[in-house]
Amino acid sequence: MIVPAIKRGSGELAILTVLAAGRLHGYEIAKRIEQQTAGVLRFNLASLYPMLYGMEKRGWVKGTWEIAHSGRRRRCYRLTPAGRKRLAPLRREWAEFFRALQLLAGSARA
Amino acid sequence: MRFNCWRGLRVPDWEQILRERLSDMRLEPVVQEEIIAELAGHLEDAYDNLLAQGIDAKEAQNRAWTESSNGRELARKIRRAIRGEDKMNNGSKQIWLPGLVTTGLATILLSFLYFAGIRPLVVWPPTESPALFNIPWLLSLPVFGFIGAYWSRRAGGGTGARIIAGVFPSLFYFAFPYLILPLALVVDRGLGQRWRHWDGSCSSVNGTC
Repeated sequence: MIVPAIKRGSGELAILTVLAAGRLHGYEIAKRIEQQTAGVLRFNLASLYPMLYGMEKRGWVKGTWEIAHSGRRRRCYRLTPAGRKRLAPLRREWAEFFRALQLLAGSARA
Repeated sequence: MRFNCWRGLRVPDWEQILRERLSDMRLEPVVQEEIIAELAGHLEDAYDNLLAQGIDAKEAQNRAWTESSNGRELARKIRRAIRGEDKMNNGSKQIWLPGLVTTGLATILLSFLYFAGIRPLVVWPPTESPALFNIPWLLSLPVFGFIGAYWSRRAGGGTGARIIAGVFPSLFYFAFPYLILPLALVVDRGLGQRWRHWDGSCSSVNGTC
């Protein structure tokens, strides 16, 4: 069954996926997602940070202030054990959603 | 646009720009300043990245500026995310909601069994008050507990939250007499005094003094 949350889950999945590879600050998260999706998925301030804060509130990510390579203070996010646990079902739901869309597209073509 | 100096370069003061644009955020000042610092860091990085791509400073400022153009909407989204205005908190979703709903369902079932004529088994201990056991209803409690624990799990609850949500109906009914009796005594005493005050006679709710 596809849960309704999958719609907003796509952004959460993207963030959790890039954070699974290591800690990143907000701008790096946005850039990494953009690079890994060949520019298809793009986050800006209004789409990224409210989502990050919501995920932090749910305990999936944890942000801490650190000094970045540039020498500036940046809030770096890392995946928490709860976030890591959330990633697997989210991936499954997303794959299921795409399979369903492909089935729908297939039946529309037939 | 306001400017700052960073390593001898003249750069936009993103913090001040965001402070003005997000004045509508209405969060605690400390939290608000942390958010502004974080978002300003994002804009600084975006601006630096555009400059590194060879885009001139004016154009880079404009492009970074557009990221925060709708300040009111951004402030609203952040406020909602931080305060969880449109969502319940984890405790509500993972413990209170499943626990209270399953307790409510258990209460409805108990009423249904009563009206269906399934009377509880009465056990009279030698020295104490009688104890009532509604066996079918008691057997249903683990089922309600399972529903509550499953609900809590679906809401992202950990082991502790699932256990609490699972035992919530049983705990509630176990604690019910201990909660309701003192309350009933207080209410009864209060009503009794009021009764006496109104009609001047020595009577209480149940007619005794």
